[in-house]
Amino acid sequence: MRGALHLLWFELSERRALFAASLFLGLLALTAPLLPVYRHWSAGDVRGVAAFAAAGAFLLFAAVGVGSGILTGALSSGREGFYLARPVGTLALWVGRVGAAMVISLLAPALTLLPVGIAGAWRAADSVRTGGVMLLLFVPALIGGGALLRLTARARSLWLAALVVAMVLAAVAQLRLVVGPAIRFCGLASGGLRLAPFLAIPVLWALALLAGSAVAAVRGRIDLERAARWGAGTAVLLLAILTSLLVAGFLWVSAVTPHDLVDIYGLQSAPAGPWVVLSGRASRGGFQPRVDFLANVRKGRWERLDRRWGPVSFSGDGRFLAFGEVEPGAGPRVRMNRVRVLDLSAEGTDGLPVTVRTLPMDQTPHRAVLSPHGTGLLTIFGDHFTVWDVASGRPVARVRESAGKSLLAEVDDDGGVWLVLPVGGMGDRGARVLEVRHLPPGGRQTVAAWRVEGLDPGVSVLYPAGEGVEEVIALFVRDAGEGRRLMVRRLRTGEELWSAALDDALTPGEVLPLNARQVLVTLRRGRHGPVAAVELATPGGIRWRRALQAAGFAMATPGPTPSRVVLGINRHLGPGRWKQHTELLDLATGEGVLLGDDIYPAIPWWFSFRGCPPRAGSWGSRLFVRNHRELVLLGKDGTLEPLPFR
Amino acid sequence: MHERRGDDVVVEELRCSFGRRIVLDGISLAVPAGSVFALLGQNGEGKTTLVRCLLGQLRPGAGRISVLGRDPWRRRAVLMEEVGVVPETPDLPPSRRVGEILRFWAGLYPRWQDEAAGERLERFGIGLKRRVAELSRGHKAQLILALVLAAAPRLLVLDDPTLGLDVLARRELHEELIGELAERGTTVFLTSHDLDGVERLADRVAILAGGRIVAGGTTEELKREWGDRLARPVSLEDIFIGLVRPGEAA
Repeated sequence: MRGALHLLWFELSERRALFAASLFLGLLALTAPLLPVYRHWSAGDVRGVAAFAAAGAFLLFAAVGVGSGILTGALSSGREGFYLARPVGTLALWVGRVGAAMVISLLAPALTLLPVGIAGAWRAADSVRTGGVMLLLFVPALIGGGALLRLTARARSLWLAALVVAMVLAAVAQLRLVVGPAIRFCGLASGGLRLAPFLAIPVLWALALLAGSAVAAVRGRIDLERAARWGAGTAVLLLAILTSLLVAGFLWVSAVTPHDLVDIYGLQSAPAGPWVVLSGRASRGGFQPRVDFLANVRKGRWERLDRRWGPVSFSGDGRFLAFGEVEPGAGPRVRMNRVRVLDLSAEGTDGLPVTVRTLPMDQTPHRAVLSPHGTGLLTIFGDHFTVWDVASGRPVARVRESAGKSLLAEVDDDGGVWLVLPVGGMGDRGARVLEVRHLPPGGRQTVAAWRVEGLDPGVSVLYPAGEGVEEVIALFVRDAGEGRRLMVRRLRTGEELWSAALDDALTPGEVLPLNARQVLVTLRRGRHGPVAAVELATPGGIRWRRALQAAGFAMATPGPTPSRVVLGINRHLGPGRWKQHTELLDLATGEGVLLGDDIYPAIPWWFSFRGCPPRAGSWGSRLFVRNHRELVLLGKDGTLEPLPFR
Repeated sequence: MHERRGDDVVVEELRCSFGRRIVLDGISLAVPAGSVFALLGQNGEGKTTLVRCLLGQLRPGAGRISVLGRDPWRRRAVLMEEVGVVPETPDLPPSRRVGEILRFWAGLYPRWQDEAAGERLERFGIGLKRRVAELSRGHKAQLILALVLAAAPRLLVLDDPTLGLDVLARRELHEELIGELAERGTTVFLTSHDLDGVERLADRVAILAGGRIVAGGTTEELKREWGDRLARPVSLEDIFIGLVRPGEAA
């Protein structure tokens, strides 16, 4: 080791001018704002970006040019004998040289950044800094790779071609099979090993290429051809083995099943039928990717939706499912660029639903909505929407309209579209006037159908009724000076079906329709206060009111029988701490039976755009999540049984 | 050839090739401790290859090598503490100053003699602040010799050290060597084309031709044998020519 340190110092002292040059470059970056082209920019930003750019360029030069030269320069130029004639072990010679290359590659850019750091311009270049950190991780690989390429080129060895091919293949395999999927599906994963696939790659390259250069030094010594053969051969072999291990390891940790779920945070049940889409985090080997499954709760079968990204929508009859996904082979980019439609009633040979259509998208839709019987699909973007004919896979209308702001969006089977939009550009929470706009089948632009004014600004959440999918209703809470009233109207005509006066002492919160004639309304203490009660509104008025222990929010869904409703309650215990429990309420009296703690119904906790709730008595109405990670089914005897997934 | 006690260098059935070209084909030789051994041969006959094998820089294809009782390929670093090397072409880093190289060497050798190195450099007229690139070929050879001798080696390996030197520089180098040998009795393994110089320095000689040792022994034995054969007094040059160009010698 003494010999290695001695050599390290010898190599560093030979290149000490580099450090002065890098410091000078850093001082030069301080003067970058003086350039006329940057006169309109913030001086701090210009200095920061200039310094980081200079440091990055210097790092590349130091690692590939100087660092790799330190490793193999003497051998390539026939001066290796000078070092081999010294009483220093061959491996120690290599260690000293790698150490010198690393110090130069890291210290020189750091010196370039020093003046900017002292001047306090760091923060100006956050994005560049992130890139710089990634570049730093690759420094050992750059040094080793540069050394081997230089060596094999100087030796005019065929191993140069083998090395280049191996490097390209390894990079492509890692990008396509690890980095891409990791960014697309696991970027949101949590846990200590979240960055493991990304950090493993520079380590892998460093191991393969530095080991190659070490073997070249130890086995080749003064023999250039032998050094090239051993060095490149080792690197090629290690790249192949380590990349295979990385890919296999990543495939294993990401090939999770519902049994590996540790947190279910998204759940959507079909309004009818046994299908459910569940999203969550699964864990294998400490790595916790974000995953989506389509599961048949009746048969216990499941399919991983491994490219799903974005909206999910069941048709009102529960037969079709549409969801956004990324195009296969799209590399590491995060982009949802197609919507897949599955026929849940048609089973393929594997017993899973068959894809009926894949619709290509120009850009990422914010929402996707299937028509009641799945013949039409509405995809909503920020400033326009598209109506698709699922059978032909073709768009039938593309309309410029700010549909992204709509509080409710429905598409009919014939392609007609209904949008409930706030008027005056206010957001959903501030809307006092709502307008229903309609796109007739085959139309090119929407027309105003009807509007409603005087809405309570605190309540504007709207749902389709979920029952009688032909008859979509809209629900509003209106404050017309005579107290707050719940209004239930036909979406298509605006005709009021019925209305009910609500408790005026509390503020209406969420409006949770169970069917066209029964609506559960949560009541809060103040607009953003805790939920204090729920009441059931019917055409005959408020049937009952039930006080709750202060809850953060509550949710309801039709129950396992038409006479009952499922009420999920979420209580805030403190910062980051919540407790859920679920009750089965008798619709006639409002009396509840505790189903269990840490259990909540199989519908999303968020209320906007959730689509149709499951119908009373459907599989979805009997499905619950226990302890955040386990799907359980309510049996006829009132017990909860875990779902056996196969 | 069997290793005898007191042999500093032993080579047995050494083979070395580059691709299909066989450079050394079953070389065997021994260099007794304290002797000056000269390996002679035409250009491209494999003298430098053999030297590199002896120094553990090149791995032979077959055969056995022992230098100061050690396998040079496996124990190169330890061996180099006791072996001084003067290469065919001075390979000192050209950008470094003499003083820097001196300090680098001083930190590596346990028996380093700083005063001796300084004294020799002063005698050769090589300033510590001069860069290697600025030195003449002769000065470079002298610098290396000064460095090598300051490490007090048991074995000195000189690979054609006088190559490209003028007569005066060559004589200075020889005198330095003779002085060193007289003083310390260091074993010397020498390759050279300078047959006059070899005749002055070496007490044992081997001649390499066609990848094999074609003649070997003490200088006196060889001269006596060839003198008898040619019926006249002979020099090493006569013997060398006689072996590599038999027609010309006759």
